Amino acid sequence: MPSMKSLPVIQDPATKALPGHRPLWQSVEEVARRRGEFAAGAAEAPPELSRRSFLQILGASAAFAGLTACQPPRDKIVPYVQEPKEDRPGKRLHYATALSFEGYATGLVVAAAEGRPVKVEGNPAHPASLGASSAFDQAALLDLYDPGRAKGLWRKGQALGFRTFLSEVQKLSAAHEADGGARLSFLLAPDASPLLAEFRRRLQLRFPRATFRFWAPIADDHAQEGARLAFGRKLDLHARLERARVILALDSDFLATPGDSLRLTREFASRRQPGEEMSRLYVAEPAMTLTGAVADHRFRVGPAEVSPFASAVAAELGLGKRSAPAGSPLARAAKAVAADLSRNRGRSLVLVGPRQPASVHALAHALNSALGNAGETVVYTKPVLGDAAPSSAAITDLARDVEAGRVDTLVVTAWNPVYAAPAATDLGALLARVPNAIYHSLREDETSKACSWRVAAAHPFESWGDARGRDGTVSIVQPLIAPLYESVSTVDFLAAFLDEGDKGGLRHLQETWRARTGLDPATFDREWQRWLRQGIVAGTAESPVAAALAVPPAELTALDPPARPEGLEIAFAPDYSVWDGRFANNAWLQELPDPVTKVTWDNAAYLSAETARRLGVSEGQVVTLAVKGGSLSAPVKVMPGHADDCVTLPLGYGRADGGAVSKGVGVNAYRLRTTPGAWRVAGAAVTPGKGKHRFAVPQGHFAMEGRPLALDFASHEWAHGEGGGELEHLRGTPPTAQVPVDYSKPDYKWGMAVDLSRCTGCSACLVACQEENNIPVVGAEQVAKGRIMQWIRIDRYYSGPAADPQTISQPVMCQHCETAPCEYVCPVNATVHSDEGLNEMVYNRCVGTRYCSNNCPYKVRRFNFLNYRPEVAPVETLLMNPDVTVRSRGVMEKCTYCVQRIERARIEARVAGKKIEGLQSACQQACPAEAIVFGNLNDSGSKVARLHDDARRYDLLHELGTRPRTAYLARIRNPNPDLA
Amino acid sequence: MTPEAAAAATKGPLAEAPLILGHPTDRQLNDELLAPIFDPNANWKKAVGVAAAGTGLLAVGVVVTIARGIGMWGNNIPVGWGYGIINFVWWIGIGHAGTLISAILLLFQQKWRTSINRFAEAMTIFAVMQAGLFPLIHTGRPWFAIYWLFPYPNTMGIWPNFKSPLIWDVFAVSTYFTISLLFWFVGLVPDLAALRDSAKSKVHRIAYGIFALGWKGSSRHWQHYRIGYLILAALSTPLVLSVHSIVSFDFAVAQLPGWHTTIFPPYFVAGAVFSGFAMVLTLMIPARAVLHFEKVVTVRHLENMAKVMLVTGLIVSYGYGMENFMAWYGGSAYEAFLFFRTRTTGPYAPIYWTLIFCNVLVPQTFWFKKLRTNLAWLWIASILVNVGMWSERFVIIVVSLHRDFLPSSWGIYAPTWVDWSIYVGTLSFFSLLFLLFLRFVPSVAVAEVKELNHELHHQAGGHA
Amino acid sequence: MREPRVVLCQVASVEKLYDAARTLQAAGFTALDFYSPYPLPGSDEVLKLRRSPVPAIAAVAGFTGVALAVLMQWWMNDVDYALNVGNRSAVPSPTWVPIMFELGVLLAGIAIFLGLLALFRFPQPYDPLFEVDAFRSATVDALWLSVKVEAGEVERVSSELRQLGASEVQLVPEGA
Repeated sequence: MPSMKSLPVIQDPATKALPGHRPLWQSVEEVARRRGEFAAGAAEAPPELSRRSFLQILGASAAFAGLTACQPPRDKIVPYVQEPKEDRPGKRLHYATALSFEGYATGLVVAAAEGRPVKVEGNPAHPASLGASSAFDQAALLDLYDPGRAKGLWRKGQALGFRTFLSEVQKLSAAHEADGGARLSFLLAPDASPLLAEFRRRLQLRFPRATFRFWAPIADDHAQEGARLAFGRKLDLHARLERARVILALDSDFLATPGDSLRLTREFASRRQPGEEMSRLYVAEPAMTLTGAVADHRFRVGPAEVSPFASAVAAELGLGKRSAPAGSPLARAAKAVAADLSRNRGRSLVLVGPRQPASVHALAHALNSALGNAGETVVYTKPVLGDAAPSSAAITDLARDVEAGRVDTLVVTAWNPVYAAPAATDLGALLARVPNAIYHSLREDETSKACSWRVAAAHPFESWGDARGRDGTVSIVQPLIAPLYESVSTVDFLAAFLDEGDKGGLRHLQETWRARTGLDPATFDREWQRWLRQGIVAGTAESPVAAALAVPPAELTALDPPARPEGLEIAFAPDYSVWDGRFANNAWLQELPDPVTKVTWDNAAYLSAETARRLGVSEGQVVTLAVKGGSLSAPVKVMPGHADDCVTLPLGYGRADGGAVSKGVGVNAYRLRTTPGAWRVAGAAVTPGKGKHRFAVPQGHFAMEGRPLALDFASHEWAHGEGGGELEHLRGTPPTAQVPVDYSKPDYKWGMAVDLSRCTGCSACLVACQEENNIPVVGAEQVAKGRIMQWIRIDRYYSGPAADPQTISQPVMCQHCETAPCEYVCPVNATVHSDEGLNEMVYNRCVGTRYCSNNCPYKVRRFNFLNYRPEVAPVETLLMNPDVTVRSRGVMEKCTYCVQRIERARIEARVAGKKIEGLQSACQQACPAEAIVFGNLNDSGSKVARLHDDARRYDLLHELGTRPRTAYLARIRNPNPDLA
Repeated sequence: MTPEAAAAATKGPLAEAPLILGHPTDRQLNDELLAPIFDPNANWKKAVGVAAAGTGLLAVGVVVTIARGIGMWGNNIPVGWGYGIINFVWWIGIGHAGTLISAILLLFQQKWRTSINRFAEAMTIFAVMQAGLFPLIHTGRPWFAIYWLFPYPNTMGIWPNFKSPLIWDVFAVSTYFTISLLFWFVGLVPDLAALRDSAKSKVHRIAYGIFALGWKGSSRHWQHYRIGYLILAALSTPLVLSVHSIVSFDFAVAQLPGWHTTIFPPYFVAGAVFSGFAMVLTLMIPARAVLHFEKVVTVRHLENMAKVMLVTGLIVSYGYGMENFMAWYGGSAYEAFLFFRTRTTGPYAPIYWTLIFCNVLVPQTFWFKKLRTNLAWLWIASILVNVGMWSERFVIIVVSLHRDFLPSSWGIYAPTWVDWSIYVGTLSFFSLLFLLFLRFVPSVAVAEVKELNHELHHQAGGHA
Repeated sequence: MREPRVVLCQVASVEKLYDAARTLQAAGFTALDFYSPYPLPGSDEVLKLRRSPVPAIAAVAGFTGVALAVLMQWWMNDVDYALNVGNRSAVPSPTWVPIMFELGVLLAGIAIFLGLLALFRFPQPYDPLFEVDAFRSATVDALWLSVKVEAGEVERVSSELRQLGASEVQLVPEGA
């Protein structure tokens, strides 16, 4: 592997063909030089060809030029022939592609600078993105450039060239073909990709007796089973929150649904404005979640009490008899909820989370159909994953086969089974027994250790493929850059078992799709162009199916709920930072404060203060949790709003071989997950230990101390306010001795508005900002010292009873005060005001007195206490946004309102001879809730200007007279008067 | 006139003890006061060794800070300033007694100053040297700060921001150091000449001859000298007040609760004098015994300093009272929270109560002559006061910063070993400079003492 | 024409010193000077010295400093490189005052020091007076008087001084 040092960012073809090495990647510039080769095929520019589409195509071609020298055959795609000036250095190229998560795709548009992807954005045309992107999507870029990625193809510790690998696989397949693949087994990651489905079909033809299993550590078998119980077949459920006025979420963190979180967040947020149409959310859950935090009523119930509560609600609605014991608070809640639901027939919605047993899911289906919600607020489609849906049982079945020696060759594309398999099945040892265990993975991990073959996977941004969104919409996954390391895409990897590994992903794709569409070549080529440009294949969404209950509701309500478990119950949860562990080596996500607990670089045994008291344990104390078949030492963290008598353990930490970043971070909750895919385990014994653990939590205090900071009102209070009279004293210009500077003259007066009613605290903005602004990661120790660098801080305050508080999130970034307290105290004029009202930070003038931070009432300034950019691997430097200075030690930094985007837009507007339009800050662009709005306050028509005049608008710390340019819109809650 | 009348004339109403014991001749005074230079104390070398070792700590701390960054200190967000600025303000404060004793007492014709002013001035200069170190090394990029803070024409075409109190600091502290140094040296010249002329060895004679610049005690020189010295004193007096007022602006100008208050300038100045006199006592009480200066540095001198500390202590206490009153009366919730919750019961409450004990209660003991004149107690009290004043700066800086407006950004501050080694290092460096001063420079203003002596005897009708 | 010579003598007390001075002045010898370890009250009158220029020097320098401070702050921050710093744009600005004071004091102080050096012609490591060994007591405990006289009159003045009770009367060697 030649070190990246030898490879300049912009490569000269001449330096590329080093003998014996295939070059690691090429730049867009090169494409410009070779454009000639692509002249054919770019005849007519399609009618709706926008500038961005142009760039998408160019991007693709760029990537393809890259492929010429590396991946098997040389492919060409639609070239980009016009306006060669487009790919000059400093210009951004945008590619449409898609990223799959738990099998479901989110459409993305990725910006590349000088041939390297530097920023991930959502694809507005994609139904699962709507232009937004999640923290996971954003962080994918860091994975791409991770120097710790798996490299090369290995068999029994010896490196294979790509060709050798293919021929070896070919031999292997041939051998298995003899007995129809009886001793061949596949453990695959769930994926809705039509191309991979086609491959499976052909593989099954070739190896009729081979076994195909789909597995992921976090599967929603319960939901599928529930659907089967209710409808007699598996169906996907799609919530239509924009139509729902009353939502009951039963242990369902729907705002974090894999593959659908962005759409659901957008739809949910769109109905949180005060008024008749405002929705009302009830959540019953054990641990506080994103969804629970934005609920109007949150019922603190253990995982096992959700089912009785659901039954009680059903009983109130006349379904089933199991009503809760009268007089209990839950009974009262159930009554009110039921009443509210029935008041809103066809406009209500009951959602159930994957942790709940199938019976509860079935009950929810019964409720929804009884409430006439089916087809209104909830639609059903046939499962998008189809037979590729993950099943928790897969892992144990596989283990059994291996145990019995029925597997000679095991092909694994599923993520890290050894780490995430049930504690009981010692999969590591078993895989070591398989003669040919072939593991295809992005990173070397616990599973790599156990497998005889290790095949480095190409990052999705490096490979061709296709994928489907949760609603079925197909996207073509196109590479943005040729593989940085010697690696194989999933498509080529599986194709290898069809002896077509060297055909190239593009050809596979086009052939498959030409066959699927049955279009003539010319039309197909035109269609193909459109798909690449738009990032979606229009009209491929699954159409809703009429889902009638296959059994009378009575039967569903009669399904006996699981017995209330004895003793302490442990509930597992995917983690907001590392999910099931697959992002554990991603420093951005590790340092992302958990949206609910604010913990970074860690997980913990979360429990309620009451439970902690009863167990005699205190915050940070290390306890030993023991269940049948496993035990684990974990530090305790008290979580306000957590249900009693249960512990919540986020999965995905405590990695042994997860890479440098993940080492020694948190504890491995899978050790207690004794049965496959179990979400809960009962009868846990807790023995207090000696050790004390220090969590790295950037926010230490969660009470507002009665200060008017993150404001919220109940809808009825607000109505009385006659249009925000409540907030008059928190806006406008307070009296000042200094003559205010007049900002109405320049064309632009930049400002921002943050709508607390919309913000869910999901923290996507935070990672987007980190990516856009080259913000360093500082590590747990520095975070604990109070030196986290993220420019956006999502403050989270609790109010009400400590045991069961209300939560509010408030993103705080530089407020760009017109009378900025930070400015006049700087001795060297390193922070000053622009004539458009930006509070500018002049890095190269800063000497680091930190006076500005001391005098900033919002404490949004960040200081480089140490050199947080020590010698980085050259590949990591490719990650940097070339428009943003990388700050040195001893320099203050802070949110700039994405000044680099403003200037880029200014240049483009000037070239086009018009005013700046459609400018978005990075946080705004990522935000799925549209809670952050940035723009020009001098343009009275702009959205931000309207929001600044909104009745809910107020200024943070208004009485200090800082006149912030960032306005906040008070959050409105919509509580049920019956429960007041 | 009669001796009694003469005595009454020279003694102030508060004065009981004499300013100079016995009736030494000028020659005797000369030899006694210059003795430490010609035959030093045996333990001097040991003391220097210890101080030098401690100064090594300073070197280590500074090198580590500059090599690795401010991250080696305990500072963070929200507590952007920690030990660095605490020690800066503390040392500057200590630096104030010197000039105050010399200048103000000179203007007020306070005879008792003569025996201690040189001592105090030296302390000022050395203290300001310690203080000056911190603003520089506490910055993130000292290698730029060292000259970017001064208005010099540069290729960037940019100037410092004169609206920033930190720039005022730069001017105030550098001015204060320069003027103090000149004042000290001008006062020193006649004594250097005396040293030159009473030196036995040629080396001394030449060395001191160079520094004496050729002083002969000519009356034509004395004429300009006296007026010049007087004007320097007249300039230094408001300077003392201005310097610590400006240091207090670093805080008063900011809008942070606990900083943003108009009482700071007077109360910082009083605090400075308070701690300055305390430090003089801390140093003088042992030095006086070791160097046998009891004749000229009498109990009355020490007692007078105790009285000054009592007064300034009361002013400081008033300052505390006023702050709290304003926090209540001003009606700012944030300020009230800081004063009545964070300070008194927060994580740093012990330091706050230490400050109250040392700065408010301890000086009250000086109401009693018995304690005022009890050297042991005076010495302990003076140290307690220095501790108290350090705590005051800690409370003002760290406690105000660690819990400000948005509870979400509250944090905690803990000093690191580097913070400590730099602090201890400056203490040692200060002692080192002081030991060198005692060894090589007349630590009492000989000429002035002679003048006073002459005056007393003359008025007493006697003759030297 | 030969250089005037300097006659030096020690005097027991201030009174004697002043008497001697007055006598010599009466005799027309006005180039007198006294030497003492500490300033002698009344010596200015006896020697008929003009007012010292030091206060004037200090005043001029001080006000120059103040003016300089005003110009510097105004020109640098509001003219040459004007910036919007936290909306604080007032001219004149109260924020100028501290530096006005400091710069005034600084320049005045330095001027006084340099002024004294100039007036004293310091540094002056050598002076013919130092050739007189006994004169070393001048900075320690003794009072001395010096008078400039024509070479011819040295004897007369010396005896005159002896009669006035001066001791250690001697002729200062030619300035080398």
